[in-house]
Amino acid sequence: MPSVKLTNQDLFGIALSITGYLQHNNNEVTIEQACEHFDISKNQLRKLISTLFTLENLKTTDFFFDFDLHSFDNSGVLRLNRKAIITDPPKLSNQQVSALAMGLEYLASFEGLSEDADLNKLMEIFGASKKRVRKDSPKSEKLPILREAVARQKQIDCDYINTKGERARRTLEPLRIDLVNGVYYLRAYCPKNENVRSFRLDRMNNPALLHENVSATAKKSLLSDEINLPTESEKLVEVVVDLQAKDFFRSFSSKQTPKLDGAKLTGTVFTGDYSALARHVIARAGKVKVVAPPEAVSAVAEMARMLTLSSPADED
Amino acid sequence: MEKASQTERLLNLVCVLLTSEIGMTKAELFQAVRGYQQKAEGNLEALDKLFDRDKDLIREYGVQLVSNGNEKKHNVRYRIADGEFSWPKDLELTGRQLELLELAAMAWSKTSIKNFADFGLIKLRALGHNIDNSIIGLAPRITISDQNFEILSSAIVEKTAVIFEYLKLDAINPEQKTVLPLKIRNIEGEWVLLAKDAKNSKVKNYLLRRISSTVYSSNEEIQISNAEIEQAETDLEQYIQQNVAELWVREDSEAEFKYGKSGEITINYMDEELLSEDILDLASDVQVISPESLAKRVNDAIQRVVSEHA
Repeated sequence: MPSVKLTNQDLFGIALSITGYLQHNNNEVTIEQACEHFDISKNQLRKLISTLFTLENLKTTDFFFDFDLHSFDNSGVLRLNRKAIITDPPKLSNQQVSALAMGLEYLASFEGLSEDADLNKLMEIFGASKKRVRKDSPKSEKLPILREAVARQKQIDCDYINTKGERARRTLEPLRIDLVNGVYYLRAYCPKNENVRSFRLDRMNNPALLHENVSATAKKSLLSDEINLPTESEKLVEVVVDLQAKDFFRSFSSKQTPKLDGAKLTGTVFTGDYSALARHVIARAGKVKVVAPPEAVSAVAEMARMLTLSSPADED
Repeated sequence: MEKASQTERLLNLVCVLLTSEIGMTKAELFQAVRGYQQKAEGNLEALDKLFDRDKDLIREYGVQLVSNGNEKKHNVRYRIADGEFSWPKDLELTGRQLELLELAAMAWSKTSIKNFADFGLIKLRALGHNIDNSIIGLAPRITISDQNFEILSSAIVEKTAVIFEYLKLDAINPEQKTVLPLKIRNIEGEWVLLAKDAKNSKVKNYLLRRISSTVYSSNEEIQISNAEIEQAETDLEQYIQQNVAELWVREDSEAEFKYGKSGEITINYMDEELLSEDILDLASDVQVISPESLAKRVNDAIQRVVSEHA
């Protein structure tokens, strides 16, 4: 049963849509069907029906929704005694069409969905534009295996290089594939660390399906939308970031929103490892400066110096 | 009598307006809709403010509430736009299509765009079919930290021009741009705005990360045709095809995982700065063979990091 509190907007939307739903189902659905359809609880549905039942024009005393409350309470059936004033849900607004169209376009960038006939039909209906998807990318070989693992709830093993640059053959229990702002992550339970972590697909190679099923522990693990969650061992680092590189903050967990100071953002991030931090700083090409603690500043300088040594300017 | 909740009042307002053929004035609505008199307790100014808030909310929730004149005047009549509750007869969405739409709506996390998508989905769900559950384990996510994203999205919907400061690649000072925004797309992990420039009438691509100011709306009238949009999209693809970098990738390294091969490889790119950042992320495993400008950009960036953290 859904436990999420409905917003006023949700209630408004469901209320205006529910008679349309009934109309499309010959004016009779079970309460369970309606609850599942709108993802609401029986109590929420009962309250909503009661509210609609009492709506009236005070001047004409016309009531707008004549629900059969007796059959709701005694037979578990939702129906109207007579046609309601609204027989279809309201049409989509331009903003709603646009939001869904952009979501569909983004969905189409999922390799394996770009050629999906249903998706293409929807993109046509919503006026979304198709875009080029590189079919020869290295991800093309990994994704089908990972999708199969998620669908069949099978464990995998794969080569993985973590943010510290350590490489190992890892056994993982895949739960979901996330595409976050164009970057693929496998959300999987890691038996070694005994928690759910995000594994970037571009740091993964040679994934293979195993016979073992995903464990009950993994299935029960909470799937959070946050890719980066702070752990107790993580250290706090102060940074100054050019506005152009503000996505830097997305790569780390942080308890505070960065502050704008002129053309720069100042803030703090958590990192478990200074070498991982240094990589992110170097990748922003000088647009991120670590201010404190001194050990973090030194780690960045050290790694950058190593890179200058590994590629001498006069190399033959 | 129990006081009507805000949702109840909004629903009542929509229903009352739906039954009216010629629309209703504010005064008529205050008499017909339960909640107004109770809530404002006779205070006319409070009643007006409450009604204005309700109008905004109804519109924000995506119902087309229209009027026949200046809404500051008391005699203006309000109604729900014709056809607001009638869908094309041939529109039928399958359970799987609804599932795809649900995924599309899910992609927006924690933005006002998510509210639009979610509310749109509630309406679509009501058209009948139950949502399938066949696409297992995929979770698209768009997390926008750029406040300009939502402003630009609204401008695209409303077809209004905007003004912003834009820092071109390698420029020191930003330029002011007045453009008609057309589309925002995620290309290779980067948000790119397709827009028509008022100054030279060219349709161009702008990286959102290089917009260095808040985006404001403009009164500039800029016309655009579908052919221009299609041409600009084709041009960008051709531009990416023309931009070729030669890299050396260390064998058995993370870079090999990323690019799928080692040794000398060639890749296409949209923007040299973005590519240099990708290379810097893997700098110990990748070296730039060409173009020279890319190699210099990577080396300069490393030197800059060293000197800033010395």
